[in-house]
Order: sequence, then C-alpha cells, then structure tokens
Amino acid sequence: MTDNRPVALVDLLDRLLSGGVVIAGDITLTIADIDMVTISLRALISSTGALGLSTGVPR
Amino acid sequence: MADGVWAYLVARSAVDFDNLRGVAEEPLRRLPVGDLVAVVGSVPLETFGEEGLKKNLEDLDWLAVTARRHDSVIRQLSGPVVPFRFATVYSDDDSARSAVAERADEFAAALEFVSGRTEIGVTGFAIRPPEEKSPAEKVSGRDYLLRRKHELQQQEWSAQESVQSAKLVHEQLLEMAVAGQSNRPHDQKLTHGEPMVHNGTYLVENAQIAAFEQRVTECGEQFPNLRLQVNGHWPPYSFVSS
Repeated sequence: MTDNRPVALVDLLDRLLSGGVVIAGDITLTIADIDMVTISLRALISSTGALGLSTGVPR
Repeated sequence: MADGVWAYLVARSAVDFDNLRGVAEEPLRRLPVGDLVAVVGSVPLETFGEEGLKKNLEDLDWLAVTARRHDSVIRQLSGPVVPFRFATVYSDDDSARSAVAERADEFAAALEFVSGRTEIGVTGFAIRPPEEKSPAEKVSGRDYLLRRKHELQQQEWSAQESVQSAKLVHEQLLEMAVAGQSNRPHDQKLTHGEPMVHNGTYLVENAQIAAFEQRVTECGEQFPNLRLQVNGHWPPYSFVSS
C-alpha cells in the first residue's frame, strides 16, 4: 500500500468484519453463525463518545 | 489452554516477510500449499477461541488493537494478497492447509483478480444548507414557527437530493474502477452527526489511482450538496469473497 493516510477504525471494521475470504475455520465454525458485525457495532456505538473514531489515530 | 491457528491471508509462494508480528504479537509463519502460501500465526485459544472471541469482540479496546494488528500484517506484505475474514481460526496447521488446498483454484483466481489493483474507499456526506439568518426585527411566535418548519423541510429535502447525487457519483466512479460496491452508510452516531449518504468502495488499477481520485474531486465540485472523502487505500478486503 502506498497510501499513508491513517484509516478510521469504523471504516476498517466495516471491511474486516464483512470482507475477506470466508472459509470457516474449525475453531470458529460456530463463530461464523454469530453476527460479528452486529456485536462489534454495538461495541462501537456504545463507546463512540469516548473515542476519536473518525480521527483515525492509531491506538 | 492450547493454541489455535489464526489465518491472515493467502499469497503467492514468493511473498516475503520478516519479523512481522500478528494479533497476539506472535511471529508469523508460512504454510505452503502448492504455488500458494497461507500466512498464519499461533494464538492462545483462551483469547482467540470461540468463547474468548465472543466476549472480546464486544470489547472495543480489544477489537481496535486486534483489528489494527490484523490489518497491519496484510498491509505490510507486498504483492497481491487475499485476506481471510477477520477471526478465522483453525485448530492446527493441517486444518488450515487443507482449507486452502480445497479451494486453491479460487485463491489463485482471486490473487490474479486483485493483482496490481487497490481498493479505495469513498464516503459521501450530505451537506446541510446554511441556517437562514434571523431578521433583526421582532417576529411573532407564529411567524417564527412557520419559518422553522420551512427550514426543517429544506434540510430534509437537501438530504434526499444528496442521496440522489451520491447515486450519480457512484455511477461515475464505477466507470473508473474495475469493480465497486455501495455499502450501507455508517450510523450517524459514528460520523459525529454528519449524515452519511454514500459508503462506496472501489477496486482500481494502480495506474489509475490518481485519475480515480481526480474524479472524486471533480464529483465533489459537480455536486455541492455532497462532501466526498477518500477514506483510504485498502488491501482488497471487499473484492475477494466469491
């Protein structure tokens, strides 16, 4: 990647949790049934006030 | 508790990396599968197993650190890579290897597809019209309420217009890209109250990146009811799932 712009956490999670190749691992076979996006967004939204999410400052 | 195998990505076997650390700060390993290589790391199942993940995915601090580490591994390898979905964990190397081997052709095709291309995210926000200035003279309560209602209607209309503009922007950007998609906009709670009307992501030939971003700028000038933003260059997260 040639781009050095810091990426916002919300944009990163948007991709990590719904992108990538999906082959269920044998450990996370049942995790695949959990809606990771939903539980993680719940975590995001409930903590938004405390975080500079869109500033993209690496934590 | 035992270790599991966290899968980061699949690349061509020539891919090179030194001293990279993964989500558990573990050293990364290569699992060769024919012409391909899966890049993996051993992680403690107490944290990264099914139960641990369920709990930890709701802990934003943990999630932020882990997501950044995962992303960092994928970004630091040069050449085409096919990332795994975040939190893909195998019980051992053999299971990971056979999962890749079973779909080796698909991985090879996906590597070919993303080779020499970059994912670029473009978000668009509706710009609210400026508030009308209150006239200096005194107004009656009724006049004030009527004016306020008018202002609110204007704002709503403007947001709808911005949604329309965003669709046109998406069409223009698709012309410049190999592929693209329009994802669900972020909740307003995650955008500091700014109404997001476009959450697009595009796969662009590396040679076309400058031209693509120029088009984003031009679209911003063409549609003054939108604030467009390139939110970054990405590994091809959104363009590898079949």
